[in-house]
Amino acid sequence: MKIYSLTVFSKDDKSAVNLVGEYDLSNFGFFQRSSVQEFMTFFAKTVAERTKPGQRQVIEENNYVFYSYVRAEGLAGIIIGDNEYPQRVAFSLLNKILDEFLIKFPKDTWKPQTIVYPELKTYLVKYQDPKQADQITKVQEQLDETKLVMNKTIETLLQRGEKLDDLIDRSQEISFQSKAFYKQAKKTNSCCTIS
Amino acid sequence: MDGKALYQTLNKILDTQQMWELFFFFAHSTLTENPYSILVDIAFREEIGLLPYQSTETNSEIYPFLLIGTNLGIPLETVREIFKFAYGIFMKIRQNHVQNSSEITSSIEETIRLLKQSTRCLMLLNPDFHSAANTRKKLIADNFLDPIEELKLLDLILTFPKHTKNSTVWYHRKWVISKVISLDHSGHLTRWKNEILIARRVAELYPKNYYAWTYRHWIITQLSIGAKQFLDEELEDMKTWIETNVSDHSGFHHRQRCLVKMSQLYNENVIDFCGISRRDLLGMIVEKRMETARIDESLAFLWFEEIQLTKGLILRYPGHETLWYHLRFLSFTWKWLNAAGYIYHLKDSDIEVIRSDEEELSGLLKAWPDDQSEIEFARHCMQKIDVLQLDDSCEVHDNLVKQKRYALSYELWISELYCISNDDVKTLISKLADIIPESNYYGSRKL
Repeated sequence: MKIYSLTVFSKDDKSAVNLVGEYDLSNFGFFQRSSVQEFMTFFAKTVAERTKPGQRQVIEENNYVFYSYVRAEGLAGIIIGDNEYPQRVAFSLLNKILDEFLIKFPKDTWKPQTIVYPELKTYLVKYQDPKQADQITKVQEQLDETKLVMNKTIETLLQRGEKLDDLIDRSQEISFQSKAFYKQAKKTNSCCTIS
Repeated sequence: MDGKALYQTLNKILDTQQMWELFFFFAHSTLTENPYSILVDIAFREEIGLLPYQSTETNSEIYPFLLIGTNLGIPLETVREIFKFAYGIFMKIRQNHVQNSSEITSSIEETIRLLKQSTRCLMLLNPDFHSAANTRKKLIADNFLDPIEELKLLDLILTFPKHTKNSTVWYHRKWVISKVISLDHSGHLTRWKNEILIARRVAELYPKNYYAWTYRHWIITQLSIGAKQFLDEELEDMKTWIETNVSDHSGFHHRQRCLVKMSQLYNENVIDFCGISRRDLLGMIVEKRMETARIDESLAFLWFEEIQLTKGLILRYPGHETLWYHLRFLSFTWKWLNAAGYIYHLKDSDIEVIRSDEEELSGLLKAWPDDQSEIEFARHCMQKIDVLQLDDSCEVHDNLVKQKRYALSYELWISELYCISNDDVKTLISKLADIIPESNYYGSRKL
């Protein structure tokens, strides 16, 4: 049961911009960590861009699960966890983060690298054990779950003719080292355990 | 760069690395009081990684290797060359040794230096090399190599995910740590603690790593009777682990072994029943029922609390089969300990409930475990799906469907364990055969 990352994006019709993000990558080796982080941000951004305002999505990719929630105000929250993490808790955490974010930061301040939101780190640490989240879990039970859309993989989010490998290749945010790791991992058919 | 130059650069880095580490060790040991915190520091100060690219600093003295802090990155494309070169040196020395060749011009010190360096590179790049590992064992046995240094090399090797699934490395580690402890028994608990830390880190780095868990089981078997505090800490550590890894069979299995070991510390008559079948175990009781056992509350508390903990987890995280299997293990052990007369019946007032945030649940968890309480628990879990009317596309629904199935088969299992009437068992089998049509097991039992 693990949360790897909590990220918040501002989003318009076309693209999403990463505002803040916290990561727990202690399960990865030293040399993989920065690449894993780049990929997590990249995938989170991709998912944020492909979630409609007001929508909640769950996307499973290998052993990772992406939870996304986009508010009508154009704010997207993405959690990346493992497949053991309870969905209910993940969505109530997303709710909490986005609510708090909207109160603390008016829309005209939404610029990358200027927002200081230290609570995000606290949530990342605290919510590693979902037991901590019990009170709000109960709130979640009353939430409208019909809006929930289950997408099975990242592939199903892509538009016609789009390929994940091309997106990664073209991405400016992913360094050449990380691209090399990705190719190597694909070659050995394993995710993030480079041999 | 050719193999020779790469090999020499790598060895140079590894030699200086060890000096640094020694420096860090002394710098830290004077600063921190807690010996374990030093161990954590030391154990993961260095990491090794294979990189699919080369260092970009072409004029660095360690090019093409990459050194960040004390973490060493080895470019993938150099591996073959280095391995070939190290292999050449190693095999040449072996051949000379076998033929007792008179060509040997180098001194014994030089030969040993070459052996140490070449086998170090071979183990680092491909630990599945028995001859290299055995040569290093021989060097240790002949006092040419410090076993503590060898443990550090193995720490380094085990930071590399693929190597953690290599049996040669783990066997080598077992041999070396046994050697270290046989040489100096005084600090053995600190040493075992370090081994636990390594096994735990490896299980994080590479999940479901049987080698690491088997090694951790082995550590528990090596503990002496006086190691209660060590075992307490291990149980505490495993509690955190199972609470956050609810579908990891390996973690639960390790906890079971710790519980059995702890029971033996409380009462030496408890046998180590891992690996003995249920039927055989219950048979044993009939044969020699009620040895004059010393009975106190500790055993009852240990196992009862574990049953509560597990039920709490089942209710919190529905749909994980691992939890139900753990509960089966506990229910069986409970019955066995009771039949053998080792369980002291606790008074209701002594029973604390781990989690009592919901009234109806606290009653379920507090119930003294027997056939009735278990069946009631299973039935409670089954009903959940009928109470909450959920959209069948969501994850919560999927989990509750699974939960119902596990609860039903648990009820069947309990009914058979406690020899409840045949008709009930038959009804349960039909129900299971209906909800799991794909399983041959219940289908065939139904007939």
